[in-house]
Amino acid sequence: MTEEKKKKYPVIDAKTCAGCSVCVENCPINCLAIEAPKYHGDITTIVYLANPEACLGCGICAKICPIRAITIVEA
Amino acid sequence: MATEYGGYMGKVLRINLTTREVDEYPFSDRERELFIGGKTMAAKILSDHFKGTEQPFSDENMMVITTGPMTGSGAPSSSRFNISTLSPLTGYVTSSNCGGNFGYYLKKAGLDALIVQGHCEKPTWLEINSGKVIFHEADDFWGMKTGATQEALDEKMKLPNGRVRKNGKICIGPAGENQVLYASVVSNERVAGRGGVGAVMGWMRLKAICASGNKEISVKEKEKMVAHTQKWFKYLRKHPLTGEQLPKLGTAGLVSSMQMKGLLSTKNYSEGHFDDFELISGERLAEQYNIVNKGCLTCPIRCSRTVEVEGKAVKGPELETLVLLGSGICNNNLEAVLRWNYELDELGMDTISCANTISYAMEANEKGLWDNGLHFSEIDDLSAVMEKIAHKEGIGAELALGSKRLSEKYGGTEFAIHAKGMELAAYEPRKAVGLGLGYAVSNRGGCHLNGGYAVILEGLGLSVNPTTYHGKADMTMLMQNLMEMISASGQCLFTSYAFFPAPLMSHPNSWYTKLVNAVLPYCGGAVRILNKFPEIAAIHLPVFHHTKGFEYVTGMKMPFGRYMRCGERGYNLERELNRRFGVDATKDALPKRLTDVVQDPKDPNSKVPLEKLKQVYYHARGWDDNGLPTKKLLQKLNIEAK
Repeated sequence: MTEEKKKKYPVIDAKTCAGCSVCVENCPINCLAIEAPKYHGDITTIVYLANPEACLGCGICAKICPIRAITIVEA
Repeated sequence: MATEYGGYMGKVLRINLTTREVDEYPFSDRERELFIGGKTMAAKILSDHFKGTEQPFSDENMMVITTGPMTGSGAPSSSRFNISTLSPLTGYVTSSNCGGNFGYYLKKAGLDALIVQGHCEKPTWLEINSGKVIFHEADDFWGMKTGATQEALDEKMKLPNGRVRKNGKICIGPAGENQVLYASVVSNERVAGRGGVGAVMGWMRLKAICASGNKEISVKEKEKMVAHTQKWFKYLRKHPLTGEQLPKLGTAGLVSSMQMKGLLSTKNYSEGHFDDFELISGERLAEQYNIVNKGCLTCPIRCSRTVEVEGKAVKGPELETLVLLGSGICNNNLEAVLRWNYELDELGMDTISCANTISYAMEANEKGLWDNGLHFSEIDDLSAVMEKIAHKEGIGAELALGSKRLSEKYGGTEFAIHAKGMELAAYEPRKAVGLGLGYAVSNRGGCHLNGGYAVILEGLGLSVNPTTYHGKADMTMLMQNLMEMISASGQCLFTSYAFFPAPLMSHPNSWYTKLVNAVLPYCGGAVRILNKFPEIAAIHLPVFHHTKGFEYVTGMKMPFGRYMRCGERGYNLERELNRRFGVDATKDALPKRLTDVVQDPKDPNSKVPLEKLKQVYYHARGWDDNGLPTKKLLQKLNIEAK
């Protein structure tokens, strides 16, 4: 069962994601992080799965994302 | 009271710290329709209790912490919460807004608002866990700075598995504990800075509140809101102000424009230009000190900076701090400003009021009125002075009173730069007279935002003639009402920047922008019609996503006109509330330096024609000659007078 869960993980659409960090705040095990570079003329924000090993694939991030930039996929 | 509307949690809790009683405060759907949330909801609650005889440091005062229906709804920049109370600095009602994560977690705890009354015998912190209130002793935290307090609270929130339970906090630092009149309340790195809300919390001996929970924040029309938010985010990210200037340089980016336009407060507002402005500019901050851009929870604009101070990554200064602790005291040492900004947040003290009080003291010393050892451009001891203010030691005990009280004691009222006792923001109003009016009439005292931020039309966005009084009063009213409602709904005022069509911002020298700049001062009449009869705008504007977003979240009908009317109601409600504490036309004042002395000797118009502006403004607002809302107006706005 654990193996099954580990096969799921979030994929973040970098074009859509605006880095509002709601998913980061709501991840129950803090495995998402925000990559916030200095401004370089383009805002390519910027959430990424910082700790894929720990990710439960629970889908809270996808559910809470206000602009549906996250989808949960199976490995 | 339960609600039919989306966006609300349907519950307001009242906590009496003296008796430790906790009960639900009735707030009906009818009241939600009229008073929305945020500062307006708080004003309604305060209005139902205050008679005008209450004192800020007393059990009769109350602190109302509110969210808006948009808070945490997924709408951009919607993590805001508001703290309203009777201000010890002004003696009137203040509202202080903050982008920290407390509001978000207050809603997840199942609450729209908290009303805190009374005082604790011993230092206390409150835990609000899914609506349940738990009192904890805070002896161990008392005396701690705000960063250490928040870390200590996280320790207390640790779960058996070692993780910290997700939570949002507010806390005070030493300045609040010692009731410095301009003490702030801190949440994460963000600050509810203005009006001394931290001092009231300190008087209550309430060190912190920590909220947590897993309640879902409902959205009435979820699918429509998702599609709308996608468009809204895109719009904000493409707009020259919210998608470029603010992410690129933060609010500090305005320093250079302010210098060009004579708006950069220098040497205690005696000048509008600073020779070394480049050394304290947003460009230099971005190039040399910015480690990373940061944003409040839910915000795609990300205007906050992270800088390094003594090897530690900390929040960078906002424009106000940068200017008032930079050019305001003739200081070109940016590193010092970064350090003071961090230290003031740690001490829990408003950077604006603190900086202006210090610059007043420097000038009073220079003029021989008060021998206090402070000199313009001499900055070596200022960190120690700030510590002394927070602990009310030595000279700090006097500086903790703010510039108004000090000027009454030592003289120099003409250069004590405050309105209603609260120090002004960083924009020199003699080269933006509409903002000068805003500072003077603002409900919470010298505030650029509550004052309508007309400076965005007068040089920082558009370039309308900054020293003409034509059209300024009506535009100030329009902007005040608009921002009042954005704030009440729980969103950041920066989202309103997108209200200005992008081409006007990105092509300031184009013929159409020049035309708008030239014509706008003469559109006062048309603006007044819109202000007076906003319902005629029963539409959703394509550049203003807030109204549709509000409808999708709450399910309330909210065309632009009604949105504006709600803002007007909020503004008048606070005014009526302040009337009970003695506000009238005489209190809408500015120091003589700004109204009687020209900034530029070559330009006789470079001073604020306040009396003229006030007259037009009162008339536009439908107030009487004494600057008070008439009974008829209050009735029309469903505001109960006392």
